[in-house]
Amino acid sequence: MIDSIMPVRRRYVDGRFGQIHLRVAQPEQDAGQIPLLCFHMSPNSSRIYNTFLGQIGTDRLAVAPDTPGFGESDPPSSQPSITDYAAAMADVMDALELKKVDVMGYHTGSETCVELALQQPERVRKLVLTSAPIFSDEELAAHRDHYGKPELSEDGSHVAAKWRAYLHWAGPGWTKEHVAVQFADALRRPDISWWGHNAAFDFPMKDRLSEVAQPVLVLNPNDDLVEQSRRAEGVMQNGRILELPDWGHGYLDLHTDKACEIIREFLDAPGGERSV
Amino acid sequence: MTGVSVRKGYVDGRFGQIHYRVAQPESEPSKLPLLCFHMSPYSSIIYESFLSEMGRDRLTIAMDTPGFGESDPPHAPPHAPPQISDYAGAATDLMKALNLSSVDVMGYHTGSKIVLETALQNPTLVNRVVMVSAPLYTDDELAQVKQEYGPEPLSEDGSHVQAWWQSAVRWSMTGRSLDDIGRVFWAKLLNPAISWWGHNAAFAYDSAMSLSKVTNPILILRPEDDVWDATARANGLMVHPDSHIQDLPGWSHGFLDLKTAEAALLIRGFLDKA
Repeated sequence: MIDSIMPVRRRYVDGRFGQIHLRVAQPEQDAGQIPLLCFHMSPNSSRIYNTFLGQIGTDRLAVAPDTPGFGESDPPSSQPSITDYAAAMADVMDALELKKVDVMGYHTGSETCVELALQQPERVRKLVLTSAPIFSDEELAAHRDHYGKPELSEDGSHVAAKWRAYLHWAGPGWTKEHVAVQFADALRRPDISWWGHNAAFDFPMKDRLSEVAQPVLVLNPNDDLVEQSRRAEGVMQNGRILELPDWGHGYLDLHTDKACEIIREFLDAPGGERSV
Repeated sequence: MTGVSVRKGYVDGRFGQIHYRVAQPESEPSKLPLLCFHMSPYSSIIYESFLSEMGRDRLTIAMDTPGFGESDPPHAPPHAPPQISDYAGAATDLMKALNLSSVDVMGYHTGSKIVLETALQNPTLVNRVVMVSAPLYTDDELAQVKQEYGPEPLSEDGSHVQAWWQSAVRWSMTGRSLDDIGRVFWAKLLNPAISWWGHNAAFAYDSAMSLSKVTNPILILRPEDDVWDATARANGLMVHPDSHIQDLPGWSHGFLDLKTAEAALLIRGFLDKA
């Protein structure tokens, strides 16, 4: 049991779309573990990983980038796809000179993990996905409608509605004080903040996930994608789903120790080394 | 007229990492660097358009005040939040980290108090001072603003964020669109547990005393915003003969985006006079 917490520092690297903002935690001495890259949900930012990085960073380099156009990362000049986001994450690996990594994603970030694993099969060892959503056509149509470009109101009702939605989907124990810490990032760049969801809904998750040869662990908390993630069962070549019915949004803050334990157990077990 | 691109970076200061935005011309500028400080809460995001314009002929930097934007907060106990002198200390750290030996400074509301204090702390480092508003409050007004800008409870129904949005709309100058407000509004909501620290420090600071002690030339820009009346009281307090108040009737919050070129012209006229 490691009970210390590493400081989380921020920095920038340059990528194909401009500056990419990173949160980074690492042990004082290299513990020999493969670095872990963490990709956030839409919209939000790498701030969702702040608590988690401090814990998982006690025995490995842990890096959470802001997806281009989110947080403090520069946006692409036009509407991007998950392929573009994954390519930008490969830029982060190049800039940090990371030869091999494990990847972890949250919602939209899970799709970026899958695409990066396919783009960089020699460099991505294992995947941890918080939710692995496979949408039906009906769900996709409804989601595109719901998560399109936000309309800004004179009276601020759009901001209040978003706040209520965030509270509605907060998992057990995640207070409004927790939500408030993340909420600012959800309001950034209202002109392009819908790009992340849009890219996610365009991504052929079922097909791409089925092509991934690396080991995959799907964490399935009881959030808005719990049903959609169960559809990954039978799709994955080398994956399993861990149901987490008592967890919801906010588990990275509330169940940090347990999450690290589960993730370390998966990442540090033998396997995932490609035979050449 | 196209501006230069704005980049972002970090340096280390006494409270941890300091985040800043920076713009500069491709060739070595002949003008002094300009350091900019934002209002409370918000962040250096409010200077984005202005940096792009001023960066055409000088190194122009906007710092996130510690505890705001992406800058680490001071390690302050709840009963003793930071003061303007702490923020000015961090500004000095930024200057040292970037090897700036002489600068002009500009501040917006709380930021205007930080630049006054920075000038007092570093009389040889700071050249000219631009302040967007310089509110001097009566005791009654001070009691009222302290009440208004103290720590606020979070609502279940989102009425607290809705009220903040309405306030941003209320104090925006004519012509500022909802999209313009949306581009910066989020920065007001960062670090919610301590976002009142900036106002708290501002209200504890004796601006009248500092205005009468700073010997650098000071330009006070006076847009018709929420501190229009309180800023008029700065008249006659400043020491340097070049110091003056420039009234900007019809301008209010958002002028750095809507009147970027006009503001830059005024500010260049003052900074480059020497």
